Amino acid sequence: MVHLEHVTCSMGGVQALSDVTLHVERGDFVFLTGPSGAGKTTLLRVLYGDLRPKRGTAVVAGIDLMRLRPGHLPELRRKVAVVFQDFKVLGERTVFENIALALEVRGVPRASIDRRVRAVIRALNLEERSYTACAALSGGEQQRVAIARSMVVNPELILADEPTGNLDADLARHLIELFKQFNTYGTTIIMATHNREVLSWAPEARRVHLVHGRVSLPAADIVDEGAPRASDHAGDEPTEWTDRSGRTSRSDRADRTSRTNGTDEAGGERADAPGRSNRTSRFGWFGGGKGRR
Amino acid sequence: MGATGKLFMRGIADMRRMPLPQLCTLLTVCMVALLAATGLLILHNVQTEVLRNQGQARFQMYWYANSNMTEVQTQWEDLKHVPGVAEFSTFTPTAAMAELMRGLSTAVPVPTAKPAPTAVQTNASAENATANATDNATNAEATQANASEKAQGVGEVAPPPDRDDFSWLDGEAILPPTALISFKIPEGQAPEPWMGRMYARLSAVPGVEKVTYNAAQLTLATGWIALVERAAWPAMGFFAVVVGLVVGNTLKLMMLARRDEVEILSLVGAKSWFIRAPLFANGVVQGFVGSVLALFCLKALQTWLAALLDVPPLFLRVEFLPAWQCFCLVLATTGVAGLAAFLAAKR
Repeated sequence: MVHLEHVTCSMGGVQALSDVTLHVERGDFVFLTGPSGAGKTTLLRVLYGDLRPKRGTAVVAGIDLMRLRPGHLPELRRKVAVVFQDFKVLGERTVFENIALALEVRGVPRASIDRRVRAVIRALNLEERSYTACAALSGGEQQRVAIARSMVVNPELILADEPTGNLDADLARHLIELFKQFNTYGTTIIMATHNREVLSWAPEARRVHLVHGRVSLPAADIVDEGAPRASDHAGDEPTEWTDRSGRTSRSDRADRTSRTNGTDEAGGERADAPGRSNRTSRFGWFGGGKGRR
Repeated sequence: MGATGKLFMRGIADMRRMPLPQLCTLLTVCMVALLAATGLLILHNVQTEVLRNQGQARFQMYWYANSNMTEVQTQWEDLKHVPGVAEFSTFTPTAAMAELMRGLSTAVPVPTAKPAPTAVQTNASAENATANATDNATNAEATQANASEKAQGVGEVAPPPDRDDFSWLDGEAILPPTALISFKIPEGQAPEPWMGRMYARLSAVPGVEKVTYNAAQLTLATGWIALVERAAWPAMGFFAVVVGLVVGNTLKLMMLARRDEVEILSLVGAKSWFIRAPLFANGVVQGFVGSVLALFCLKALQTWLAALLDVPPLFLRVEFLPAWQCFCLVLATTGVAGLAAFLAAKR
C-alpha cells in the first residue's frame, strides 16, 4: 500500500524528511509517533501528494508519487482519505452535505449518495445532526463528520493527522475504536499522534517513530531483552527493523550511531538511546534478530 | 441538466453562503466597470461632437448695424443656395437682442419672478417698424434652425425673456444682422485654401462688415481625428487590461474566502473542473451583475450631466453609450471576471 525508499523531503530549505524508508501493507494499522517537528505531518503530506519528495522512491496505492502530475492528483486522493486535527469541514454546510461532498466529486448518483451518507451518519451516531450546519457542532461531532467523510468513499488508505488532538479522552477513544473497526474491514490506516494514551488503545497497531525527520526507535516500545543494540551494527549502512508481520522500517545507521550519549541534537531524551536499546518491542516488530537489510 | 450545468448552478447557489465578500466584490466590480464606462462615455461624446464638425467650415457673417433688412433678407436667400451649405442660421437685430436679453437674464438672477409677456413687443420707431416686420418673418426660420444652433451656442430663439431687468433693451437695434453658415468642404479640397477663398467671397457681399471663421476649430477637429485613429485602440486596450487586473485581483481576493472549500474539495479527490466550474460561474455572475449595475449608474450619471451641460453658453449634448458598446462592456467585464475566478482556483 505504501512503499517509501530513502525518501528525502525539504520544506523552505529545511530537510523535513531524511532518507525515510517505510513499507506498509494493505490492512495495516500504523501509528506515526514522534515529538512535534519530527516530520509526522510532512510524511503524511507526502503520502497524500501534497508534497513531492526531493529524492527517493515513493509509491502509494499503486501510484508513483515521484512521477505524479498535478492532473492525476485526484486519482490518488480518491484512494487515500485524510483526517486532520482541525477537522477541515465546511462550517456553513450541513453534516449531510459535508459527507456527501466526497461522493459528489466522484460523480456518484444522487440516490446512492443518499443511501451511503445515511448509513455512515447512522454508524457514527450523527443522525440527529444530519441537517445541522457543521459550525454549530462540537469538536467531537465535527471530527466524526470528517471521519465519516473519509469513510463514506471506502478508501484504500486513511491518513489521520492527530485526529484526537482536539478531543477529550472519551471521545478520542471512541474515534480510535471507529478507526480500528474500519481497519478490520481491510482499510489501511496510518495515524500520526504523539499521545501515548492513544497508542495504548490500539496495542496491536504497528508504530513508526520519527525523530528529526528520520525513522527511529520508539522509546515506549523498547523492552529490556532480545533486541540488538543499534550501536552493535558496524559501518554506515542503513538499518531496518522488522515487525512481527515482516514489515520494515529503516533509517541510516550513520544517523543512529552518531548519537551515542542518550540525547538528541536538541538535548532531549532520545528514543534510541544506547542504554535502552537492548529491549524488544511490545509487538516484537524490531526484536528477535529479525532485522534485515 | 448535465454535470457541468449542475456545477454552474451550484456555484451560483453557493454565492449566498458568503454574502459580505460577495457584496464587496460586486461593488468593486461595479465601480471599476463604471469607471471604464465613464471613460467610454467621454470618448464617445467627444468623438461624436468631433465627427459632427469634421470637414465642416463655419462662417459667421456680420452686417452693418443699420442695414436694410429687406436687402439683407435677399442676400440670405442667395447665400442659402451657395453650393456646399450644410447649415444656415440667421439672426435679425431683434432676434439677436432677444437672445442677448435672455442670456443676461440667466446670468443675473431676478429676485422676484414675474410672469413673462405673451408676445414680442415691437418698437415704435419708423425705421425699425420695417425691420420688425422682416424680423417676425424670419423668427420661424430662426426657430427651425434652433436645434442645430444650440450645439454651437448661438442663435437659439428662446421663450420670451424676462423683461423686468433688461426690458429697456427691447427694440434697440444696436446689434447687427448676422448669419451663421456651415459649409461642407468639397471632397479633395484642402480645407484652409478653400476656406480662404470662401472667406473672400463672403466678405465681398455688399453690406457685410465682418466675417469670421473657425480655421482653428477645424484644425483641432482634424488633429483630434488623427489622434483618435492612432491612440484610441491602444488606450482602450490599456484600459481593458487595467479593468481586467482590478476585477481579476478582486475576485482572487474573494476566492481567498473560499480557499478552505477549494482545499477540502481537492483533498477529497475533486478534479480541477469540479472545483473551478462553480468558481467560474460565481465570477461570471459577479461580472455580469456588476457591469449591468454599472450601466444603470452610468445612465444616471449621463442624465445628470446632460441636464448640467446642455445650458447656455455650453449647449453640450451628452449622449448615452450606443448599444453595441454597452454590450461589449458587459461581455468584457463578465469574461474577465469569469476568467479571473477560474484562474484563482489554480494552485
